[in-house]
Amino acid sequence: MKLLAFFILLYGCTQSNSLKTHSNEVSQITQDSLMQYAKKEFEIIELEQKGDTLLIVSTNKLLFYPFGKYANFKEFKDGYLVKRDLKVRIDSSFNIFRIFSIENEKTSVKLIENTETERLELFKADIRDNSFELFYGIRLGMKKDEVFLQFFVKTPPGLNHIRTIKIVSGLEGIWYYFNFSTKEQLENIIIESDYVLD
Amino acid sequence: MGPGDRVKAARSMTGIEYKQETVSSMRTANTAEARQYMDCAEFVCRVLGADQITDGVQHMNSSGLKSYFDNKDKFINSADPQVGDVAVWKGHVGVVTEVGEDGKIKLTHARGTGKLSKENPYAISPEQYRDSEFYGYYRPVTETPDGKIDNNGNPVTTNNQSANSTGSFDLTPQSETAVQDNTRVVNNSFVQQINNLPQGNYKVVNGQIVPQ
Repeated sequence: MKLLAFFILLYGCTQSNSLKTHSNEVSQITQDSLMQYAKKEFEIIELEQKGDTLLIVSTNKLLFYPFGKYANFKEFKDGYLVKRDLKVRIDSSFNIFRIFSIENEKTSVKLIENTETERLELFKADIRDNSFELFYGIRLGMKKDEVFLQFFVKTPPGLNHIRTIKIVSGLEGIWYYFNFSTKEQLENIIIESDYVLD
Repeated sequence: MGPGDRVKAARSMTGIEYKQETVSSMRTANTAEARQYMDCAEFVCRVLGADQITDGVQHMNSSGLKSYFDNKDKFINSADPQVGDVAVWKGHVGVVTEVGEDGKIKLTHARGTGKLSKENPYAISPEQYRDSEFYGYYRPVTETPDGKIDNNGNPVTTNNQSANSTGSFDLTPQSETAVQDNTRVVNNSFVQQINNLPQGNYKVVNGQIVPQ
């Protein structure tokens, strides 16, 4: 009886290992084939699926300037914010920084005017309406396939289950989360940076 | 054989707030107050001090470091990175702590105002990282031996080595009359290690502090 139990256990382990190997192979093939769809200009260095999240690591500097490259807030105000109904709060309590909080009831974007680098960089953002449009014209309400097409030459197969596209800068600390609704539309965009200012 | 110590020293100084300080003592002293903030040049100067390339920690900015490294008798300038090299751009410096495929590097460095010093999570090329001119990678012609510091960046003291107050070492054999001073220095180093530890439970094994 004991011997029978042992063989059953042994069979179970063998099957389980075989399944694991198969699953790893499928995952690896998917990742490799995904890379073939990547747009060269987006400079993707890593792609990974984790559950319902697609992780994209990119070295594209565009990620630091989601609303375009501006040297200071005035340039941004004149070039981007004009005609948008948003409140602006300015925090000048830091030595070489000014932090600009641009908000309405649904959306909040914080930018840093860095006098040292003479650049306006993103600190954090929680975008839940169409007050802001990102690089490549990415805006809320876009279909998931449309968003994929900003990073891939054509929509890769096997990504129907993806609910979040997480984009990480391979250069410095900035993370994007593109979250999709059950209707496959871009519902909100969260952007975080590793600035330590709060 | 000294690049390992430069990597250890650099990695032990991650999580430090960025600030450009002009008072020399705040850039060179081995006190908690002086080590609270660093800019990229101070970060590298402290690594060079820990690796005994410089006599203690020197006060240099990034262009001062470039001039210092331009001494061809003492330093090699290369376009090919090696672990432990100092990467030098116009206006920025950092320590190469990993070399990946195609000569891409992970840099450990003080990164700029509002950010904490850290090791970049992905290997990148120097041109991708900064827009400014890249001068190359620098390493000493003659390396100091590795093993001078532990993973926390603290000097490792042996019977024949003692750390002085600036964190550098006297490698000459200790005379019997120096025993008292040596004991004091070792104790200071021990207290320093305890002060630098993150919150948690530790025990001492063979004179080393290790997590419980």
